Amino acid sequence: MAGSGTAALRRRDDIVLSVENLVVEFPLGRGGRVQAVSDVSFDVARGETLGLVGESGCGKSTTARAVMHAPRPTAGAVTLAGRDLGALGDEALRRLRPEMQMIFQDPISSLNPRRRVLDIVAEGLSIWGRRDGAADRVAALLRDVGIDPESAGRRRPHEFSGGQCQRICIARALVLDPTVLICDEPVSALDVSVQAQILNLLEDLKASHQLTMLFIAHDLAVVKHISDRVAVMYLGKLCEVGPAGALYAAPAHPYTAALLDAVPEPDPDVPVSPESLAGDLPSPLAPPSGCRFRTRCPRAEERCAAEEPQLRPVTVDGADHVVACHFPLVEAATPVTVGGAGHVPGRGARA
Amino acid sequence: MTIDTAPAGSSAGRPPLLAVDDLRTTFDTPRGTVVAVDGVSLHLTEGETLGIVGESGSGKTVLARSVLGLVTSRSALTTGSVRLQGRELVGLGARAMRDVWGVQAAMVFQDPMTALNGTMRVGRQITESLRYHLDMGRSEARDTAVALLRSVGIPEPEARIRAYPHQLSGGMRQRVTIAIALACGPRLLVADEPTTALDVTIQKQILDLLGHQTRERAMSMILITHDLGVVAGRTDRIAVMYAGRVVERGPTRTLFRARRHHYTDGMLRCIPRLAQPGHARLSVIPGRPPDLVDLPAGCPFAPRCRAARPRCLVETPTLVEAGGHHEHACFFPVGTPEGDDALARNRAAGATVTGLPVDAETEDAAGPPRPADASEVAV
Repeated sequence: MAGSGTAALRRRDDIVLSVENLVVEFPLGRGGRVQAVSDVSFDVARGETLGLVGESGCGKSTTARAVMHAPRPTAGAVTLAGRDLGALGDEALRRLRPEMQMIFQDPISSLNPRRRVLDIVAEGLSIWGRRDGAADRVAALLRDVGIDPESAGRRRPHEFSGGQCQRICIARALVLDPTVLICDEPVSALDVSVQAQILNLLEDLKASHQLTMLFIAHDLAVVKHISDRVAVMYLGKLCEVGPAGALYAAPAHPYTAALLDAVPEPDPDVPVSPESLAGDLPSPLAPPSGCRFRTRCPRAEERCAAEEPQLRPVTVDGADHVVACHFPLVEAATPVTVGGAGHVPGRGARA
Repeated sequence: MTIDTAPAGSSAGRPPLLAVDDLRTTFDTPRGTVVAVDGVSLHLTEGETLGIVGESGSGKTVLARSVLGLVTSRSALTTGSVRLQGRELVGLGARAMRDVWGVQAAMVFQDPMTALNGTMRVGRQITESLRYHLDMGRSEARDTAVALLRSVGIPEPEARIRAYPHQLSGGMRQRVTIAIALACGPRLLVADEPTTALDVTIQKQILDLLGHQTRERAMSMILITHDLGVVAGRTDRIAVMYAGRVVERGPTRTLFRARRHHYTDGMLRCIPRLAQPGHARLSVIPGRPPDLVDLPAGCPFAPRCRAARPRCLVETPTLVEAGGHHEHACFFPVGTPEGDDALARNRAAGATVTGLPVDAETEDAAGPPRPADASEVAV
């Protein structure tokens, strides 16, 4: 897996956010570098939610920050509503920031403990000098997220639970009316009963505020629940991108299948799968050659070590569902390039 | 709360390995006394796995630590009884507990990095207890440690015993803590959120390992988690905790299929599931868990419960038997005529006795169907 290529990009005119060949490197000292995100491309259409899943260390959060240009990526282009962020100067980029907002995993530590809720939510408005009707807008937004501005507005973050703090973070992110909302593990730190409240809230706000969302999480059930499309990441690369329904019903990449297999279902009649993915995530300092997943892949063959698989369509209708695997679990529509064709027959689709 | 008389699915008559009776752990804080564990009774037979499920603050971790005498805070007070293999543990000093920890009962913690000593090679952390408890010589202990590491699935154990914890991945570290816990052959393993810090594929490896080891050693296990998915396929019985109390317990399948407590029901219904279509409206439990300082009288779940009636505010429900070793602490249980009646009355009134609005919108959300009535339940 772990494919490169831009096959996941669709040709549509309602694309709001497009990410092309994104690379993020971090220096290691002594001239060494590690690639946390390695040639990742995807796009999100207006009103769509793209879920980004993967295990810790796969580069999901780094991708989110690179999309935000906080900091700027090492290479690659991020286009927001037709404007290339990389081409903008710092001041022009700053002017564009209200368009793209983010909420984080730990809601309590992402709020300033010394400030009152009303001031926290209003800060974006005061930075941009939008003082007219600011108080009303803040109060309305707090009501939208289920916080009573009268009783709660003058309190400070420590007086709220994690779920309520996440609601405040969401209000703060929406106050400038962004086009794109990036959610980085927004419910991972919350208890299940609160998690459901926040997920419902995000769905409601997405509709009422016409948001386009990039939703990052490690919980596959949560991602399926909220996403229209899902991208699966492994060790800095994309394995598979596709519509949520199709990808979960018939995963084409062995890694997607293994991830789904490992999810414990809250149902005693669903037997625990006897198979499990062996080993750990390899070190990103020395990623495996060829397909980065091959060291843990039950289907790996020699070709996987020699040649990196490119993202290519799973279905006949093109870029909707793409996979980066030489031996996918679902038959590819396009013929496999030389060398691998002989191995494909016999590997049927999952039901 | 009462002790089950005959445990389900195991040989009746044998004395239980672990019998906890009316265990209560409180902490003195500047704000008042926090009752973290409020009169919990439970038992465990040989080879049985009990799941304890609850959200943060429900008291599940303090319960586990109280059972093993590991609540060390000066402000804490534990009362009640914990009998492990017939021996009373409450009130035993640290010196006497040394013969219990590791030998009779051992614990696996949530965060393997802080559970391990970062300045000591993992081999020595395993041999330490072997040499102390089992009086092994240096080389015998080393060989045993290598065998233990191999049995928990660590590749190249001969080399890994020389490693420091930071040189291992999270999953490998948790395997090491399991090896340490298993070293002296305990009869009871208490695993407190053993996979919460791990990725889903590693979580599966660790849960498989724990299941394999408990079967192989006919060991009993208490598996504590917030994730109902983790306990669904891997426990014999489940106890659900809320606000320091067990609110429902029973054989795993019964608990999922014929849940009676509205909290259990709410939790099961608010989890997003792979089997559901995307964007389905999630059922929610309104509000949040209560403050454990000065818990008011009545059912602690009443302020969040759609079936709450006036009785729930004045009287505290205790566990009552619902058949098949299934117990719940609710006056108006899910799927019973009383429960349906309470819901219907609240719906007609538009709100519960605590003022929680009850309407179709908040109820008819996604989630598995509620159990209809007790008769359809196969145990």
